[in-house]
Amino acid sequence: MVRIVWFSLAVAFVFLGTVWAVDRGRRWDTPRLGSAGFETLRGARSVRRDSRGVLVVPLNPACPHCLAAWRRLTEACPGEPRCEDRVALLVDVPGRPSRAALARLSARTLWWDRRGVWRARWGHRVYGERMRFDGSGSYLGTSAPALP
Amino acid sequence: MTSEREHLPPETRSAPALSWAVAPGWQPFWYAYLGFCWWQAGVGEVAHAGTASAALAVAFVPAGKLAGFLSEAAFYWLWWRGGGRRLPYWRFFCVVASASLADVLAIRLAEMAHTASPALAAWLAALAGLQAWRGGAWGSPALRVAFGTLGILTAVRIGVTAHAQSRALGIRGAVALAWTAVVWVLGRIALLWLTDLARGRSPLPLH
Repeated sequence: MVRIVWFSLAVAFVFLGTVWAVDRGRRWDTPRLGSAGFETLRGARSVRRDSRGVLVVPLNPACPHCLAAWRRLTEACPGEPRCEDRVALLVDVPGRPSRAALARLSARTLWWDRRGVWRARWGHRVYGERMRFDGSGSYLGTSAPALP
Repeated sequence: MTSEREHLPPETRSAPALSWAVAPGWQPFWYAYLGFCWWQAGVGEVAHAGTASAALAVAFVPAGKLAGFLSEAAFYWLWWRGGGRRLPYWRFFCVVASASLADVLAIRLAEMAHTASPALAAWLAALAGLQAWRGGAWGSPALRVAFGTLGILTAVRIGVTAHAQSRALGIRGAVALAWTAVVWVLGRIALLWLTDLARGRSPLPLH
């Protein structure tokens, strides 16, 4: 019995390491807004050419942490001229969100990642992170979710 | 090391010499105190998360730590059982749970290091772990999560755990220390892998 437990632990360790190595070895697409094909649920359909840049924040309606990070973000810079445009991107939502769910989310611009690009092609996995794009939709970088 | 674990003569596999770290009559109060310490450490984390659900989650921190201590004690019990030795489970559990106070202290010192002067922060980092060192250059955030607690207090906790095994089983301290350190490193590598898998290409909110 003890040997079986140890064998299982060893197999689990090797399996985890293999999964990690495969995952780290994958080639991911560089994020780009133009080709992502996000569906617009509210607000602007695309990035304006003269925009100061866009801050895209992936959110999931079932994640209170990331919704709180979004609120902090919008409260910290509520549409002043120097602020980047802020876009809430609904991710890991397989079906179209209900009107009630959308009403609870305070965002001027709201996109839906219907095809799962953020996770499957870009390789990102942390809700509430801040992805920065320039006026042409090119990727500038990502910051961790805003802490209080 | 394996040979010592597996091939000691039966007469050396004697009854446990490990005494209770805390007298049994005091243990309910002691475990309550440990639970309170871990709950307080969880409160500090809630201040960073700042949500109602995080406030609820902090109530489960002591329960999560209890599960961790039970698992750690069971791991070592199984390990030595595989070599034909019997580690006194509940006495060893008491040591593991008590030694976790070093982790609580490390969390407190790491919090202090965020607002301390650079010189003091360097000393605190030596005690609490490299994650408290501002000059630390980590190649990966997962590396910091996994090995950021490496410091004197972690070494003390590993040493206490190893010493308890040495006393309980009558094996050399160096052997127990080597196995405990290897288990700690393997556990940290597994944590590194899990953290990387959880974050993908996303940065982590470390402070």
